[in-house]
Amino acid sequence: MAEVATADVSHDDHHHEHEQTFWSKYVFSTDHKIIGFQYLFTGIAMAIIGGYFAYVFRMQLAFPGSSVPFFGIVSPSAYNSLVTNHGTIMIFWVAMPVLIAAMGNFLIPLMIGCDDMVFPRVNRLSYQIFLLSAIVLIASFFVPGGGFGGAWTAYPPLSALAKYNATPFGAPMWLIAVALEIVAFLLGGINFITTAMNARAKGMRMYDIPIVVWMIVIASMLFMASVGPLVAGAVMLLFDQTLGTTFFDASAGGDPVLWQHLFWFFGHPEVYVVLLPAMGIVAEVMCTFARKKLFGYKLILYATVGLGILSFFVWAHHQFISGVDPRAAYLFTTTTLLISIPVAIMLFAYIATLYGGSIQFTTAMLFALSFLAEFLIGGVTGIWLGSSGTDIYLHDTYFVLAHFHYTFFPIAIIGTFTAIYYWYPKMFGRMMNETWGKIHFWGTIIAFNGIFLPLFFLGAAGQHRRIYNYQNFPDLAGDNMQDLRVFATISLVIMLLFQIPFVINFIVSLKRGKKAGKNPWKANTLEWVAPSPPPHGNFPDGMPEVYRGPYEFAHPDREDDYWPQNEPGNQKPANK
Amino acid sequence: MRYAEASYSGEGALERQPPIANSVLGMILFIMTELMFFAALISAFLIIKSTVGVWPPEGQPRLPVLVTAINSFFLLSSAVTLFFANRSYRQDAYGEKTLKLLRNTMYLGILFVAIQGFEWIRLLSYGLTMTSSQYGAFFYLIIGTHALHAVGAIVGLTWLYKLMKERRLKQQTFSAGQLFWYFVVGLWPILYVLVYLT
Amino acid sequence: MNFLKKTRLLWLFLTLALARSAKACSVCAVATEEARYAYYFTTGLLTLMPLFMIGGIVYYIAKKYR
Repeated sequence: MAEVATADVSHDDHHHEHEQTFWSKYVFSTDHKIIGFQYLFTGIAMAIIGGYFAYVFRMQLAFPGSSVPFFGIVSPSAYNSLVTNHGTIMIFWVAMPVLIAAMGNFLIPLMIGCDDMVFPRVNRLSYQIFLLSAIVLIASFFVPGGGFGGAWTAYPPLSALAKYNATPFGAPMWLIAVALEIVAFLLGGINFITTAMNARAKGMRMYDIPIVVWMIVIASMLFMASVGPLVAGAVMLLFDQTLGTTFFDASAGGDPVLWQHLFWFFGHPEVYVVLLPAMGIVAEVMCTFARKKLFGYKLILYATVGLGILSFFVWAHHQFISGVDPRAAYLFTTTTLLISIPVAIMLFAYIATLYGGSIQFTTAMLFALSFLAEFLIGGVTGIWLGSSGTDIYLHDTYFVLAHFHYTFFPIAIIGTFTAIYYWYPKMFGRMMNETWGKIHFWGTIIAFNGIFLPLFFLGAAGQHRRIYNYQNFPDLAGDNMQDLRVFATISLVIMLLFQIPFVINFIVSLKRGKKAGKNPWKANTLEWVAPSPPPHGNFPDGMPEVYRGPYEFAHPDREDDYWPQNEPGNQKPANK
Repeated sequence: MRYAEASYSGEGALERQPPIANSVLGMILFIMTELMFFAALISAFLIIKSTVGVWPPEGQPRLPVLVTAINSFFLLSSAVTLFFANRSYRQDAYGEKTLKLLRNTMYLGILFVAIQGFEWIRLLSYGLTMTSSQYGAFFYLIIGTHALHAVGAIVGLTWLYKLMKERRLKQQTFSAGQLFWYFVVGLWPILYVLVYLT
Repeated sequence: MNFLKKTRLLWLFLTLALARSAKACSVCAVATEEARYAYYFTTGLLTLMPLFMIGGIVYYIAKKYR
């Protein structure tokens, strides 16, 4: 075979210890764990920026016209830029980097028992491109005109023509930042899929792979299949903005609906791209802290595949009132309602996993449980929006906003906290403080509901999105409604303040946390076999070999209530 | 790295070779994404074309159908030479024949891009630009994107050639590079028919 | 009652047919008829392509694994 016979120069560099400077070890590393941390910390930094923007515009909505502390007066165009960039940052620079890139990079090689990704230099390149994209986006806030203000959905002609959006530099920079970010994730996705498929430990069959790895792999496939049209649309929009082409200009033979057609083709699978890793993380945590096998591993896997397939058939439900053929609404309503079935199957499987389990209420578990509850609310409110009839009224109101925050917040924020509280011991070799973790949890969750529950009512009462001051609309300016807005804003401030204990806990535990052993949570998956934190090469005691599935808790043949995948023993058939 | 290559059997590695080698699988995934990208460009093209109605619009220069047909032949031949280069590689990985066939592939690719570029300059001088009409905009957008990919593929082939000369080109790397070239070549007839012939 | 039950499919189709003709949205249209078909065609194309491509790869790998 040619590949074994040919001399390979490139992979001798890990057969001996090599001197590593600070730069080669932490900045230009090809080690998947370091790259995972790079994504994690960049994502957290961007989350602070995105959260700050939310604080500013919510203060404007609650106290219109007043100067916002730490910002100043919010002009209408500043408001537009804030909401646009809040949305864009949270989706592309927080949810995706943390859930997919950080967790995927850190966990996948460890969980499948391998020493690194199969394309480590491509991995490093992907982070560098991602960092560049973040820099470009942040730079766009400081150019004349400020950051792009055409909403994260960037519909033309608002997004195409500077005479409408007043951000002649911000708009193209925004597009370029998004395009770079997409390229970074394509490179990352290639790595995840190829590594998971080709580099597994000996004995790890398809159904022995931890579910979170499957979820990230399937999410990467969904992303790669759906993002092409967005890039195509973005290129055309960029040309409309900069070269004066008229792809989306109806007066010159273009079609603005074409942008929506391409954008939402990506936009809908995108929500499943972020959902799946979060569900995977929650599953891992729930199994460990219920001391119970995942209920219906194959059921969940096939439901996820079904979800992925269906997600390509539902996207026009974002366009019910934009003038598309209403007969198309028949199809898209039906498929949208159908797609709730696989998600419901998965949620029920998770609940069944908990049933009869021996539940340990660690902070990670609390967040995982709250994911189920909050996402459930988000999911069911989507039914009204997916049905074209009710959507005609609810489209573009705060009902939509509350719906997607009740789904996105569990995914991006609760999912992130679940993952951090669970894998922090592995990442840094120390335990986080549980008491402060619980304080953080309750403060975050209660405040989160305080922000978005009122927004359902406001939306149903007719409050439309993307308006900087509701005092200009007599129907929406009543005291009742304004009180709800103030309540939501105060809840947001409280929630942001409750993140301070988390940050302090994170930083202080790095040095003062109790030292974690290899497997503080007594879990089964392979990452807990490696030392905490894992060294370069991951498994200094030799590559693990796998003998069973990842969730063998409370097995009758064992004294311990857990059975790590790599421990030989009675060769019982694995995960059935 | 040693382990993640998954091409060693022995202590700790997979019991058997993965069905599709790493580089090849990675390239297949990349090409799938690119195909979706081009499918979207074509979709946009079809939608706008049917919106505008009269196609090509009056007053716009006609595209050089015949010259491009001949040029297409060069591009398609480059795929043939690359196929034979692969066969030669299997027999004698770094022999002169393999090198020559790979070189010829590169030359044909460069010829294709050069002729396209020449035709473009002519079209621009006749007044077909990105802003002159939707016809012009889509022509440059779609054919230009393909040209960019062709240039990238030529750079890729150059890299493969360098590795081959240094006698360290693995089969899976070569296969991955070939796949990208076949993608660029295979996509071209579709674009030609849609953009030049309708 | 039995008659209504036996012909329930017919009633279903009639209902759907009537519902269809009630749709008289004068602004719900894309620019031209051809554009409408272009949207349908491209919707199908973009939706089905990933399914066939990924399905094809998965099928190929599954066959090779056997």
